[in-house]
Formats: sequence, structure tokens, C-alpha cells
Amino acid sequence: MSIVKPRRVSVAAVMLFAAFWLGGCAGKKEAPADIQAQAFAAVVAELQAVVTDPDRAAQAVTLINELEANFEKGAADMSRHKANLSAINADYDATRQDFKDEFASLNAIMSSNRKNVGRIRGRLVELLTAEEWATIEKARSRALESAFKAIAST
Amino acid sequence: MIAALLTILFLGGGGSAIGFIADLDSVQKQVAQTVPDDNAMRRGEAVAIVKDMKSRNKDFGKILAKLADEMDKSIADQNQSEGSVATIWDAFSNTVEAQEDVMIEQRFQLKSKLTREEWATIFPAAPGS
Repeated sequence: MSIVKPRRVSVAAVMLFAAFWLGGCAGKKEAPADIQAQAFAAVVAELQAVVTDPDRAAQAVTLINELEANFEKGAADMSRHKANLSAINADYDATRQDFKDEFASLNAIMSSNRKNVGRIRGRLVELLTAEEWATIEKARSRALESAFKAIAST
Repeated sequence: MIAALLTILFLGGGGSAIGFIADLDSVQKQVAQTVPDDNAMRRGEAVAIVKDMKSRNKDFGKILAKLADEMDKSIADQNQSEGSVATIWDAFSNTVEAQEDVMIEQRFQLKSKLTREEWATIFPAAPGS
């Protein structure tokens, strides 16, 4: 009797392992946008665990969600302008003004995005205690890295 | 890490808008292969421009890496005000925008050394554009 149960567990474990292993071998590398979503979700989870005042926790989560939306928009903007600039460059007859106009449009959008990020960071700084800020530091840093990677991958 | 990513982001390597001529090593090779032997002098001039682009990009990268490092620390430091973070962002933006102008000028220098057909070979239009 005692032999059957461990064998069942063992088969199940092997199947589970095989499923993960085969899934991994299928070569499905996670998309940078998915990694970004997970990283921001981790910040939210950490905030909810660390900030004991529900009101402040809710405000902080809202700010993190705003930050994530801002980075998503940044990635979409960068992707569109990158395609535009490549098309302008490929055009032998493109003028300097064509490039300047495209860059001016991109720079204006990026400047606005940066201001939003700065504003959100400022509000988080005010909202969180030094201890809370320090506790979420790693998760926050990972989220920012993932966001920049997502933009760079466009 | 964020500093490195910011630098990559603005220097090219796939994701950057400023790097609309991102893979300069590849461009240099294609210029050397595309411009015919009977135009060796023109080919040499075009290759020299691409080399200059690479050099200027490298210098830009060093400045950017320093600024990105300052930004990284500034964002993480809870004692840094929104204004002080914005000051570093502004310096970063000014550096990027100055490099955009450099890239545009160098693009037109390169174009002046290549024929329409050579340009189309080296910088093919994306499908559907």
C-alpha cells in the first residue's frame, strides 16, 4: 500500500516536470510587455503588503498603475516614431525638415511622458514613508528596468 | 542597470528612434559592398562618413551613460525632489536632441556620396511603406 501512493506522486511530478520542460523547449520567450506587466504587478503586491494604511496603499497602487500606463504609451509612441524615421531615412528624397519634424514630434511626446513619470514619482515619494520606499526599492527598480526594456524592444 | 538600458534605448541597437541608422557596422559593410570598384574614391569617402558616425555615436554614448547613471541614482533617492530629477532629465533630453541634429547632418553627408540605387540597396524601404 505504501508503495502505490509515492509512485502516483512520482508519475505526476514527472509529468508536471515534463510539461514545464517541454513548454520551455517550445522556445516561447516571454514578451517584454508581459515581463513588464508582471514586474508592475509585483510592485503593486509589495505595496499592498507593506503599506498597512489601506487608503495610502490604494493611492500608491493607483500611481503605480498610472506609471505602467505611461510606460506602455511610451513604448507605443517609440515604436510608431521609429517606423516613421526608418521610412523617412529610406526615402532618398527626404529633406532635413522631414527628420526635424518627426524628431520634434517624438521629443514633445517623450518630454510629456517624462514629466508624467517625474510627477508620479514625486507623489509616491510624498506618499510613502522612508521605510516603505526602501522596502519596495528592488521591485520598483525591476519594474523600471522592464519598462525600459519593453520600450527598447519596440 | 537602468542606466545601461537608457543608454541602449537612446543609442540604438534595435529600439531607438534616434538610431534610425542603428546598425552602423552593417551599413559600413554594405557601403563597401554596394559602391562599385570604379568609384573607389567615393566609396572611401562614404565609408569614412559611416566611421565618423560610429565615432560620434560612441562619444554620445559615454555622455549619455554618465547622465543615465546620475538619473538612476536620483530616481531611487527619496530625498531627491521632483525638480532635481527633472533637471537631470532635461540635461539628458538636451544631449539626445543635440545628437539627433548630428545624426541628421551625417545622414545627408552620407546620402551625398551615394546614388539613389545604392541608397535603396543599403536602406530598403519597409514592406508596405
